[in-house]
Amino acid sequence: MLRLEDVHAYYGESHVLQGVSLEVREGEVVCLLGRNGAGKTTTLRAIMGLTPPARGRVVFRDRIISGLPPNRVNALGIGFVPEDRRVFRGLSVAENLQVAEARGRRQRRWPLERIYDLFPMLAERRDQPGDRLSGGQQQMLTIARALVGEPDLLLLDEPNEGLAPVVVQQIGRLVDELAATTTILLTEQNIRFALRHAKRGYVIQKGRIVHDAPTDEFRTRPERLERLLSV
Amino acid sequence: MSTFVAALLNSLDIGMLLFVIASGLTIVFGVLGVLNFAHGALYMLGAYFALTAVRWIELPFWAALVIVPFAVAILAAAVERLALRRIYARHPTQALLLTFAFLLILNDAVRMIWGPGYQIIDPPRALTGTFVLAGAVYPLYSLFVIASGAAVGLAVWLLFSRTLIGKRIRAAALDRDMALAVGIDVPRLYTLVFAFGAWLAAFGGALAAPMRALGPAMGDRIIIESFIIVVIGGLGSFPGALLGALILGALHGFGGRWFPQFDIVWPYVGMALVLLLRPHGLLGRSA
Repeated sequence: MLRLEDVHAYYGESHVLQGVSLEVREGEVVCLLGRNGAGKTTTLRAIMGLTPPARGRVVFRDRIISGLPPNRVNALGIGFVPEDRRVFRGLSVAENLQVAEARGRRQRRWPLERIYDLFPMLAERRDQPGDRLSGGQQQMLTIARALVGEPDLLLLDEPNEGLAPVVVQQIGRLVDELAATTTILLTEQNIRFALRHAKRGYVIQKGRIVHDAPTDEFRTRPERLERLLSV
Repeated sequence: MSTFVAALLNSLDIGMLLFVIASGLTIVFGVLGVLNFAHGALYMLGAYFALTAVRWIELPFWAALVIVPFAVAILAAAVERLALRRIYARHPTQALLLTFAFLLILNDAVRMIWGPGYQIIDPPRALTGTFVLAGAVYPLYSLFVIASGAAVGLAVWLLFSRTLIGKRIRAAALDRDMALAVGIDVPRLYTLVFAFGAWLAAFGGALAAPMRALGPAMGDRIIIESFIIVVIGGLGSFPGALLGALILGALHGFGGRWFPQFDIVWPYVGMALVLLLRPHGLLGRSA
């Protein structure tokens, strides 16, 4: 479904991605593990077109999407949940969802009613400004905001960062639930979360993929994963 | 009493006109981050286009008031597409310089096309004449200006708070990257917003044409006053533009009546006070 081929990307002068290649197949939940600054966020930004690759290509459903602006990438069916949540602060909860709705689609899997069913907390607070929500609620809002864009592939950037354990559990359940209908690529520093919810994992280090295996293998040989992540 | 009422009407009439114009400046800044130096020149263009429409094409004034702002907006959209768009990623001073270049070009173009002299347009027949309120005799057209300003202000507010496109513009202004990532065509919105800012400036120009003399430098004073308004109200704040414009209108309306020799000074005094006491403007958010 999604393939990165030797993707290089820069942040200003620094060469953040130095040839990332990875693949996500339809229906999979894939995890990209790595330490801070390894290039996890930049990989997702490169897929979205927010940090356009300087070299290499991103292919989504046999179509080269590197070079497309992020709004086109979104329209092709890729939803993005950034690590720092980034709700639109001056907009209400309902408005945050409205501006992101994919109105053109004939078939809507995530109409607002279904979103409010899935997230009753958002329904209760629909007229509140987005930045009045707690961190966990903001995370739910950004996930909901990505869903109303009707993604076939969801990019989740460190969905648990800075959140309380209870919220992390909720997000884990949500990921499992979404996985039934949506392909997911998520980045994580939390190994246990990744092992529990992803089927396959990549380890990224200094802008390169250094390991690629089913999460089962990580589970049976955790010392190997620990070593890769702690260098 | 009648002096007071006259000063009040004067304040409102100046204030509402300035509000229409300055709101365009502040919206463009709030969304695109570009301080449009050519905003006053677009106001001037609105006035001169109205002059041409009324005097040479002999359109009724009403028709000119509707058509002219759209013509200027289309021109501005082309400028945004062809030039301004290329430099958003660069340092903001470059956008300032570019729009300053447009200001110079437009000022000279107006001088070339319409000549250096002053010109006037008659107000439409239905609005010539005066009315009396609490003993003050006042031109009917000023009342029309006040009402138009209020109507435009209300429409802009509804646009941004109630319509999908208005909400998307706010989202793009708050977080450009995130707006793109949720599928909003931000570059298209930027063109629209820049054109809309020009629409507001040109509407102000066409509206002002029957009560002010048209001259090639008429935009220069307006851009300075608009800057003062957005500084007083808070850069990028729409309610701030209303407040700032009303304050500036009052400074002219009341200050001009009782201390006419200081009329030019008041706006600067007001701006200096605001900058000293509330550097982000009365309704501005701190950065």
